[in-house]
Amino acid sequence: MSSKTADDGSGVSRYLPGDRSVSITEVTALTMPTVGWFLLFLMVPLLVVLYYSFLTYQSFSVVNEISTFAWVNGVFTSSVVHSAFVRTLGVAIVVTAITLLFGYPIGYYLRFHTGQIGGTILLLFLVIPFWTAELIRTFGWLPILGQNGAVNGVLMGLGITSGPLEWLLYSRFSQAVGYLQNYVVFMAAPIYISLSQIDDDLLDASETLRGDPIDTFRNVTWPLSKPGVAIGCMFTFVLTIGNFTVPTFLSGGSSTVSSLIYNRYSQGLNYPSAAALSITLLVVIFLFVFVLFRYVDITEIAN
Amino acid sequence: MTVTEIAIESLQKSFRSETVLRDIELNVEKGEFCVVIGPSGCGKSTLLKCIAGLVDHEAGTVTLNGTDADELSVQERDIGFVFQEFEETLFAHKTVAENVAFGLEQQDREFTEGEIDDRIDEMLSMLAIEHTKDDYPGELSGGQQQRVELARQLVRECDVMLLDDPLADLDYKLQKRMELEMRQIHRSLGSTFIYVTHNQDQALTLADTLVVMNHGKIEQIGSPTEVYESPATAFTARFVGDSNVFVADGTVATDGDAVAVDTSIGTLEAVPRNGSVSGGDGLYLVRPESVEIGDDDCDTVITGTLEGRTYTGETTEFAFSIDGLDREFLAVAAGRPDVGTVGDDLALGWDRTDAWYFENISATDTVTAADLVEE
Amino acid sequence: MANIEQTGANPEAEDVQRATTEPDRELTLEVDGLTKIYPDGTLAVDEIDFGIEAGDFCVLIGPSGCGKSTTLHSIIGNIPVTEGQVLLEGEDITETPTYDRDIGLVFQDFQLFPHMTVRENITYGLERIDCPPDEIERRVDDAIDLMHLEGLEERTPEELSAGQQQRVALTRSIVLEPQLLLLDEPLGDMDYKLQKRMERELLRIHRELDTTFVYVTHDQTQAMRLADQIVVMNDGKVEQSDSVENVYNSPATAFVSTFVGDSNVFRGELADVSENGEHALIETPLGSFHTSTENLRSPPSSLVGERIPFSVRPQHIALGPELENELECRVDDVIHQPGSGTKVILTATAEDGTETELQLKSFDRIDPAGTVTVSWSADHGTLLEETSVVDGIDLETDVLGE
Repeated sequence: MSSKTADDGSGVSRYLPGDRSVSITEVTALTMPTVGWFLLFLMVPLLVVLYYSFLTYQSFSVVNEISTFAWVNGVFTSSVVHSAFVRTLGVAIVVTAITLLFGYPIGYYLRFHTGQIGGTILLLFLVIPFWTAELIRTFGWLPILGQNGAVNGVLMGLGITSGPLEWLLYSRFSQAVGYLQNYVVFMAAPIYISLSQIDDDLLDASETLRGDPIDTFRNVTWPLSKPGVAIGCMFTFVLTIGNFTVPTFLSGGSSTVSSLIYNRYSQGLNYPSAAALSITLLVVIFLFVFVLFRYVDITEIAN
Repeated sequence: MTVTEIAIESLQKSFRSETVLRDIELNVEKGEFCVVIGPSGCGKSTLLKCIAGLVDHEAGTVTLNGTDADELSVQERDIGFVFQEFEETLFAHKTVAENVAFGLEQQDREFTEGEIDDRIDEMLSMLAIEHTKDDYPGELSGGQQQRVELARQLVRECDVMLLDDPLADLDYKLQKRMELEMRQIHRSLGSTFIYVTHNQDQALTLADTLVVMNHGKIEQIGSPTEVYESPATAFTARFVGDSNVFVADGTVATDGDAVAVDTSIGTLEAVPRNGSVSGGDGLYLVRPESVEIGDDDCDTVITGTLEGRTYTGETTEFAFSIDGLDREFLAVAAGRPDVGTVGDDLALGWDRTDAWYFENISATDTVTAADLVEE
Repeated sequence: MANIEQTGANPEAEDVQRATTEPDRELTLEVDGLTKIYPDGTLAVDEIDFGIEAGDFCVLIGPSGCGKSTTLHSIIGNIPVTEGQVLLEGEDITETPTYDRDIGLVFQDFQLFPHMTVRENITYGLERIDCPPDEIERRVDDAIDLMHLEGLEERTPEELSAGQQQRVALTRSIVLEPQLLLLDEPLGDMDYKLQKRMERELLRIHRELDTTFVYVTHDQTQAMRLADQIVVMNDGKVEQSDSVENVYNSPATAFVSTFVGDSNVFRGELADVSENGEHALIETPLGSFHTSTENLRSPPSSLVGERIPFSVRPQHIALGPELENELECRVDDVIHQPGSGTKVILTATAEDGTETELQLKSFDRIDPAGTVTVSWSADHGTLLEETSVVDGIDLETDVLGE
């Protein structure tokens, strides 16, 4: 025990060569490709998008003239944009809540009720759909939920309903199902990891202090799994806002910000306006993540 | 003639803003068993890592067998290092014999297959784990795993072995057994051992030389007997062995060899140690085994109420409460003497030559007598 | 105050009192025929019985894998028991869920709730049993006072030292005033000096609280320093459950003698018994030795001709041929232990060449070398009727837990 305190702390350092300058260059060399990749393929394109948002749009073409037209008309004063943002954020919040409701029990089950092999198999089942492209997965719901789809077929065949259920597809329901299927893993996985950090003995400690299982969950398990919940919510929320396929193919046509961006350029090649909207969306997402991390210390998950 | 294997001069090391080692001066002779002890965070493990070259020091020199260690890489130093957390260091996919062979394969010298086998067999039987030769580390008990790690390092026959509390995680009985083995191994290998532990019993059992550290400084270097019987500072006296301590409030009367100091339980007499007596911050100390229960013929006699007793087979420890003292006062006697019943007021006496008075509290100036009482 | 009664002034009178069970002292915990077989078929605990008297400090010891952890978990109730009963204050709690048992538990690695302050950790249990707020306030303040935790109330566990964390863990359990407090190697990970201080602290708290403690450890010296009663376990069975004095001085088996304190164990044939029946002559490969028969359970004369082990404690072996039993040995190692004397490692060689290792302990500083004669009195030879309650064990390795 004594050796662990007040020493340099990092357990790895003792295996590294003593000469610090060597290890710094090694670390630098190892991170260079990643940093380079990000600069070239993330920062540069973003700057290009930002530049485009200040160009001027005139009847199906972009004029190389700096103006704030796209920002003022296309974002700040557009009521379509405002309502799209409100709807998008609303959908994201509801989707996050639903995903949490389904994701937490999965993470909990994986942590407490499966052995090593059972857990791996279950995780595999959750991951298998991801071997298919997102577009295909989304389209896959059409033959299931459609008017002549599998669900309606079964329901009518059994005589439970007389006609096809209309609200199954192109509705809030189908949207929720689409999001849930896409994102429940992103919610369950961090929660599972967070729950795995909780020592079984800590739960026993609660029980020996007269806490019944409900008390123990409310006062120990849940608070300690919050970092995982936060990360899962962040993933789901951000991915939902940015999602394009679900609102496009499973909703009844109500537009979200991402589908709006798509429309702006696909229906008029209005690049400046689409660019301005993209940057705005990015800032909104960034603000959300920033505020979330001010309140929840996700570094705890690493301990 | 003794040959200096390791010479450390004015060694200094800090992590960020915290100084971990200050002005370390230490010479270790060839073949010596040197044990470094001190409380957690005293820098003892860092000292080992400096010698091994696993961390850099910022000032001072480490000389290994006459060569400045700065010029040697970790691999060139010919040092074996055994960590406390052995589970992380054994190869789980190799058998015990293969793990031990790995130690040999890393040496510059080429060994024939037969030589490797012989040396593995010899080392495993020395550590009494020859029957585990073909097992995998996961199949072994903690004690066996630690011995495999020891074997892997020892088989290299390095000139210097550094051991960072290697027995700390073992069960008590096994620890005691391994302490005896460790002495045996050290003798038969003839290597220089530097061994770090927080367990002073183990240190006293193993050491030729004991190095006591506190706050990154060396408090004392000496044989276990020297350190125990003639501690250089109040810290050493308090850290090595048990003791009853009293803070002296500054009033000191000198009478020939002896001094009388005022404490919370009255005036106590002692022979001053190490340095002048000026009546400053001072600590009065008497070992529990020096206290005679029921003896009022001694130089110093106090009265205590017996609170409890603890029989450990070889000895019995008695705990007393004393007016003016908010801690228990301890006395130890061999066997199971009948001194009285709990609640009895008994005379507790000791000779002034068995007690100590220190004004030299610690090598670190900021440590006060009151700190040592709290420990 | 149990501590005092047991270690009172007249040990012999006490031994008698102990031997005949005292009906007036109530058993807080009774373990009756407890058996635990894990799903993989491992028999961890095999029909063990023991009882713990109210207010006692009971220590459960044994080598690793002896079943002490399984026993502990059965008492807490977080593993299902295969067979047998656990009774708390006479009430069968074998099937009661953990949170309904009036039992506290202190873990080796503390297991404080990391997201709560010290005070919240201590309050936790009281809130669970629906204690009124003003009573919670009072009991928490009293416990903080008893455990010297003033000033740490608003800290989080990671801001505390190991010693402080363990004090909080202890406080959190004792504030509930459980009928039984279990401690699972609570000092295992601590520095030597801190361990010593915490031991004294535990004794003080036990004296002041008058709660029954059950303490699990592998460290037999710690066990002896803390215990009123010791339960020695080996391989899923109880070797002996008795007072510290009896476990050390009248061990039931050779295993107990070797595991609790150091012991030199010899094995030989009981050749003769003295006329008054108080002494016996044992013929071993190392020679014939006289021993006391006091520790035998059956009449000494009935054992004549049987192979039987006996033990001699290292501190009872003296250098020089003054005492009745003499043995010539080679000195292998001399270990000076300042403050507690000298330990000498010796080897005795039998006629057939087999070697036996012996330990000698002197409270003085001695420096023997070469070949020496050691001796001990017949009264210090303790006959042990059984090697262990477990059949066919190798004492050497079993004691080390391997």
